[in-house]
Parts: sequence; C-alpha cells; structure tokens
Amino acid sequence: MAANTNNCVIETVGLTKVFRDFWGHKRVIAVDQLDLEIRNHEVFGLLGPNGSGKSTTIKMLLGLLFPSRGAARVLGRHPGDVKTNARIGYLPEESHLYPFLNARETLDFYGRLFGLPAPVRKQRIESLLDMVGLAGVGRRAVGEFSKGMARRIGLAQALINDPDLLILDEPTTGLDPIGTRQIKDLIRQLGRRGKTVLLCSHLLADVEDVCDRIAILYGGKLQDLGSVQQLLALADVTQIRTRQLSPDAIQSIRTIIQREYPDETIDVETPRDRLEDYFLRIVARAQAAEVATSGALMGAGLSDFLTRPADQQPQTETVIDTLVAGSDADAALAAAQQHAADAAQPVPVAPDEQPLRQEVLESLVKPATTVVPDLADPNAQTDQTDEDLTQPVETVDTQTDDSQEPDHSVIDQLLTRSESPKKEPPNTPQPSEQSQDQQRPDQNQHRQKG
Amino acid sequence: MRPIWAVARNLITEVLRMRALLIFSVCVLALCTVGFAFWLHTTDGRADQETQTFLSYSLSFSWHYLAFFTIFTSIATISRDIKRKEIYTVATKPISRAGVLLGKFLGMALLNLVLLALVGGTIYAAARILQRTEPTTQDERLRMAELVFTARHAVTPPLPDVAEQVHQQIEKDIKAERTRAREQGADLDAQTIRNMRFALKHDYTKQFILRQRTVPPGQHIIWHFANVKPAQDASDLVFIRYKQDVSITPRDLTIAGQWAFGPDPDVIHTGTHLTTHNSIRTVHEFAVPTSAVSDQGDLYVAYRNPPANAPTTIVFPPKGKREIGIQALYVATSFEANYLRTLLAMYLRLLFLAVLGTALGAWLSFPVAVLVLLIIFVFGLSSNFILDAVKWSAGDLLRTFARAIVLVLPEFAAYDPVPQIEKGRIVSDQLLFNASVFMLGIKGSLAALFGYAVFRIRELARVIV
Repeated sequence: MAANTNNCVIETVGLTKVFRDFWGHKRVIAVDQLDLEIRNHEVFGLLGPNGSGKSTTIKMLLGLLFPSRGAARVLGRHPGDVKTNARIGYLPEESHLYPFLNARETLDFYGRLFGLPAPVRKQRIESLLDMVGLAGVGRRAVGEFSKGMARRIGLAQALINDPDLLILDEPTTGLDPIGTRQIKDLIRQLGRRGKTVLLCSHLLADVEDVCDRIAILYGGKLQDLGSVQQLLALADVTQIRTRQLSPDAIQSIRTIIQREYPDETIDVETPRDRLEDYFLRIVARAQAAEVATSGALMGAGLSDFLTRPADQQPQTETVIDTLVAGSDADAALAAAQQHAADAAQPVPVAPDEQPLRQEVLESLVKPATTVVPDLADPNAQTDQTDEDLTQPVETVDTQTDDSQEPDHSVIDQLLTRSESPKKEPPNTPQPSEQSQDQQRPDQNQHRQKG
Repeated sequence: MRPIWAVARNLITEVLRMRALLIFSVCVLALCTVGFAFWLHTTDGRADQETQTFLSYSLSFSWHYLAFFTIFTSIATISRDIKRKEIYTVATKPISRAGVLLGKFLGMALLNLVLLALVGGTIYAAARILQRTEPTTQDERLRMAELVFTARHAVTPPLPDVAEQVHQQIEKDIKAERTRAREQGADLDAQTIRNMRFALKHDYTKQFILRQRTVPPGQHIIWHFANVKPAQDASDLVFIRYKQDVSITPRDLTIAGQWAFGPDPDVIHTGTHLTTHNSIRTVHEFAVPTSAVSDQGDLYVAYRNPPANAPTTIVFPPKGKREIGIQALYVATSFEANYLRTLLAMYLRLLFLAVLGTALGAWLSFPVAVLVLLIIFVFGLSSNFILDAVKWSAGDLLRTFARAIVLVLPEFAAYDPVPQIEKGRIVSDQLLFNASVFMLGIKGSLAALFGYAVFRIRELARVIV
C-alpha cells in the first residue's frame, strides 16, 4: 500500500510557494521552506491564522498548485498522481460541488470518478448520506443547500472512496454545533481506525480536540510542531477533579496543600458544562418532541465501509451516534444527558497511551502533589446515579514544582475507571469518544480564587 | 474509462438541468424546422424549390444554432469548473487531466449527437411531409423525386491543362512590357515583374480555359466523363446537366443544340444523337441511358453548335461558384443515406468546435475563450472569402499570411454539406474524408494537444494568502 518506507504519508522538504503576478513579479511568499512529516495513522493539524499558507500547502499536496521550490511526496508519490488520488479524500475549504446535482447524484458522480462499481456506490451513498444526516434531503439539489449542509455533503464525497488519507481544509466552517461535533467525532474515529487525517483549520479548539500532532504556520513558515499533549501541557500545574465537596472538605484540602506548599496559590472552582454539550441536549430534546425541520439531521455513526474489522478496533459510538441511532427519541435524549455527564468525567487512555498510563500510575504514589478526597470511599461513586453524574464537580488547581507531572485529568479517569466504575446504561457512549476538551476542564470552568 | 464517462455524464446532466436554455433551444429549433415548413406550406411556389429552400435553411440554421451552443457550452463547462473551483474536487480524484478534458469532450460529443439526431429527425419528417403535401401535379411530384429526394453524384469533366499556354503568353507580355519600358529609358524591377506574373496568370488561365469551352457556329466540342458509376438498376438514368452562355444574344433568347453521347471517344459517329432547343443562361438537363456508359465508367458527350445559331458562339462556362458548366449526374444512393451523410458532415464540424471549445476553455477564461473561438468560427466560415480578398493584394506577405490562416483555421465553408443535399447531390466521400481527417483528425488533434499541454501544466487553484 504505502510505497514510502519511513512510515510517512506526507513528506515535504523545503516546500515553497511564491505567488507571482501576471508579469512574473514576485508578490508574496505563501509558503516558505516548509519541512513536514505526517506519519501513518495520525491525525495531524495544520494551524495558522488566515493567510498563513495552510490552504496553499494543502493545494500543493494535492497537485492543485505547483511548488516554486522544494518537493512534496504524498503516499510515496508525487502530488496529483492519479494512483495517489485514488487513496485520498479531500474536502476543500468550501464545498465546491456541482449545484445542479442533488446529494445522491453528487456522491454517485464522485463514486464514479473513483471507478466504484454500481452496487458499492449505492451502498456507500446511502450509508454516507445517513452518516452526515442528509438522507432525508438526498433528492434536493446541492445548490439549494445551506452552507452547513453543503459541508456535510462535501465531507461525504471526501469519504466515498474510504480513503487512506483524508485531507480536510477547514472542515467545520459553516457547520452548526451538531455538525462540528460530528465531524470532530468522525475524525477521531477515522484516526483510531488507522486513517491518516490532515486537518487544516484556524479554529484552535477543533484542532486541539482531535489532533495527535499539530504544526503552526505563520507567514508561510513553520513556527512550531509537535504533539498536542507536548505543546499544551502545563507542566507546573496540578489539577484534581472530584465530586462536589463540602466547604469543610475543601478547607481540609487547602490546609493539606498549604502545609506542604505554603507559598502556593490554590484555585478552587465549580466547573461549568460545555456549551456544545448543552446545545446538543437541547437539540436532542427537540428531536424527541419531533419538531419538524427541513435542514440536516444529526447524522448516524461512521459508515460501515469506513470501519475496520472488529478485531482491529472495538466498535464504539459517539454521542451523535447514540442520539440518532435508535428510533426512540427518549433514548436519544437520555444518551445526550449521559454524554453531558461523561463530559464532566475524565477520559480513558487510548490503547496507544499505555506508557503514559504507567507514568500516571507511578505519579499516583506521589502524595505531595495530589489530593483526592473521595478515594477513601469508592462506594460513593459506585452508587452514583445518572443524575449525579451531571452534578458539578469541584476542581482544585495548584502550582507544583514537579515539572514532569503529566496531565492529571488522566488520573481522574483512571481513578474513575479502575477504582470506582460507575454503572452505565446500555448504549452509553464510551468515554474514549469524548473530545479532548473534556480532558482539560480548566479551560471551561468558572474560576474562583481560593 | 469509467471516470471519463462520469465527467461526460455530468456535463450532459448539467446541460439538461439548464431549463431556460433547453426551453429556448427547443423553441428556436422548432421555429426553424416545423415552423418554417408550415410557413412554406402556406406560400405559393414550386414544390421542389420550396422543399429545397426548407432543407437548405432549416439545416443551415439548425447547424449554426448548434455551433453556437457548442461553442458556449464546451467553453463554459470547463472554464466554469475552474472558476467556481468545482475542479478542485474533480482533479483530486483518480482521473488525469487529460481524462477530465476527454470527458468534457465526450459529453459534448454525445450531447451534440443527440441534439443533431433530434433536429435532423424533425427536419427529415417535415421535408417528407412537404413532399407529400406540396406537389399538386404529377410533374411536380416527379420533379420533387428527381431533384430533391435523391442523392445524385456529379461528375465534371476535368479542366484542360492550359499552364504552358498561359506561361508563354505571360512571358510574351512581360517581354513586350520591358521593351516598352526600355524605350522610355526605364526598366521593370523584379517585384513589378512578379506582380505582373501573378496578376496575368489568373486572367490568362481563365481566358484559355474559357476559350476551350467555346463552340463557334458549325464546330463541336467533346467532353469525357470518367468514373460514372450509376446504380445497376436498369431504370436508372444518367443526366447531363448544363448551362450555356452566348457571345451574341439571340432575339428569342433560345439556341439550338445537337448532342451525341456514348461510351466511345468517337461519339459523334458512334453515339446516340439528340437535338435540343433551350433558353440561354438557364440550367437544363437531358437523360442518357446507362447503356451509354462503358463498363469502366466512361461517358463521352459531344455538343455541336449548329449553323442555325450563327453568328452566336456558345460558351459552356467552367464550373464555379455560380456556374455549373456541364456535369453528368447519376443516382448514387438513397436520399436517406445521403441525409445521414449530411448529418455526419455537420456533426464532424460540431465535434471540431467542441474540441476547440474544450481546449480553449482549459486555459482561457470564459469571455476570452468565447471571443477567440467566435473569431475562429467566423474565419472558418469565410475562409474562401479571405483567400479571394487577398488574392489580388500586391503584398506576398499578406497573401502568405492569409493562406497560413486558412491552413490553420477550419475550412467550414469547404465542408458544408447543405448545398449538396439541397440540390439532391450526394455528400461526397471526399468531403467526409477531408472533414474527418484534415479538419477533425489533424487540426482538431493539434488543438486538443495544445489545450491539454496547457491544462496539464497550469495550476488549477489560485494562491490565496
């Protein structure tokens, strides 16, 4: 499959694009000496403000623009190679689709371009329309679609060939929160299923939520490159999450910390729910009430053909999956509420994070840096109900001197899963599907100075 | 092939979804076919001439409409894809850029095929209705069958070789002119001599040819028609079609003629004789049995200017734009077969426009490409006029340039089959061969290669920073 030997799906060396005017005069350097290596099976984010050269880079990788200097290899071949294109799915920054075709015809057209046989096309079209929530408007001309619906059908066309490499240029632009969330879930799922995803966006939260590694461009130049964990870790802060504590318990924690670290400032705050989760609950409630809409619905889960065999990756469902999978709207509403509860919970470690898990376990034996009041009573969590899960939790942020301390939200998750597993109803979304936003609640919390 | 077909299919869908364009096209084409036929039906005139007019105008107008349709659509389909960036999602799929262009061309070709078939079918049906409803007499019906709903092949006797005579006369004239100039103390420069040769050549050639087609009173002229291959049906006839001019116009505007025809060169003595008395400067025909043609396809026809016409000299003007001279006509195939050949010739010209449109649209913006192709189209239609216009210009450079333009541009006028079908003539194999090989095969391929070369190296996206 991949002709390249160094496990790189995309490789650029000194990639440069100089924009010249009609007379050949140099006007601007869009991309300047870009060296990138995007590995197999990773979700890679290309970040940068408007005009930083993200889209230009992508267009060069697709052969739509030619480099002025330097070179790029995509799936071991030159950009634009027909054989390479057969393994790529591409969503442009705007869904440039034929307005006279309806949604089904659009997917059929792109399926034909990939040379897919008619039965395969038919099956994939139905599956993808279902996935992006456009099954009900499959006969409507794409030209009549809203921007968000056009993005959805654009995404579907990018997936029609079950690509090994998915290139998404500003995929969430114009999408409503449901669509945004769905695309992020989708990217995560595709990443877990071995696809390589190159995501280009200036929406930092989108990239942060889904990417394994990111590169930041500015002025056409690479400014920084690394894993999200590595780049965003606040190494000198410890965060402890637990259920709502009584004032006495909080005071006890303060006392303990101040005893150990008398000069440290301690923040104790009640975290807020995420607006995205709140919004999804409202929509789910509207769906439960069968409120009519001519727009897109929440899509179904990942299309069958995009999934890999179960022995390679366990089947999991996202909140979106759960919301729309069943015909029972009440179940969907319950699932949304469950998801909201999960959003307040730490996230389990993915299989490929086993070394990190070990490191975290080791860190647990460092009492000086963490305070976990409820650890002594595991039943307190074992007995909690779904409603309890939606109750606010207290967080304690404290400065520590341990610069090697990993993200402690993972600790929460480990504690929750290994020591006090909560009861989960059937069809409960797996926490692994949650966004990385939820791993860092400090970004969304109402802060209280302690 | 599947991706190419997908692009072609998409183009056809795109056009079919342009409802306003479709409605307009249907209205225009219906007006110039069915509407025109109905209008002719309401007018008074000879049935065969009305039908000829109908065939000529409706086919010509329909073709021109389809030509403009092809020009605009073939350019728009590719240039709009690039402008509206729909090409992003196509070019990043497993289809080569050549495949994209080929798909567009294939789509246009299929679309033209369908449209031409529809229009051609409508015109054919209307013509047949006119054939059934217009003639009021048996003579008109016969005339309709023999002049319109037929496919006759025309054989013209070769022009005599007068090159040597012309050369000698020109040199004689130049010599005389130089002598005259020297007597006045000057001499002719090389350019002047070259211009004289060019100007005199045309005049003397025409003059010497005409001289050989001139029959003074009491004298005769013999024509040899080669490759006359009438159908084997014994009822078929060969028609001798001619037009005569005179040096002195007779009072009653008619002249007598004595004809002989047969397979032998000594036709005057061995052939069948026929006497005519016809009006001058009018096209006439007489029938010759197929037995007068040899197995090798040779037919000899002699004309004697009887002394009764004296002092009038008879001239058979050589075949030109407005002259038919003398021709042997025979039925070569059915009207239906010839009609299909007509549509094929029209289709080849549309294909050529589709090639040019796709090639130009691949690297020029829509308005520029349309402008360029319209200029090519107009030049192609008027290639004969261009050559005529510059023929008498003094500058060699201009003549060479005009010839180069005509060589490069399509000679639409030369490949127009409508005048043939209008006159009940077969659209020749030569016309179809030239149109498919020289126009579409060579010029079309060169245009396509050029378009592809540019499309291959051009950036389909624009740098946005």
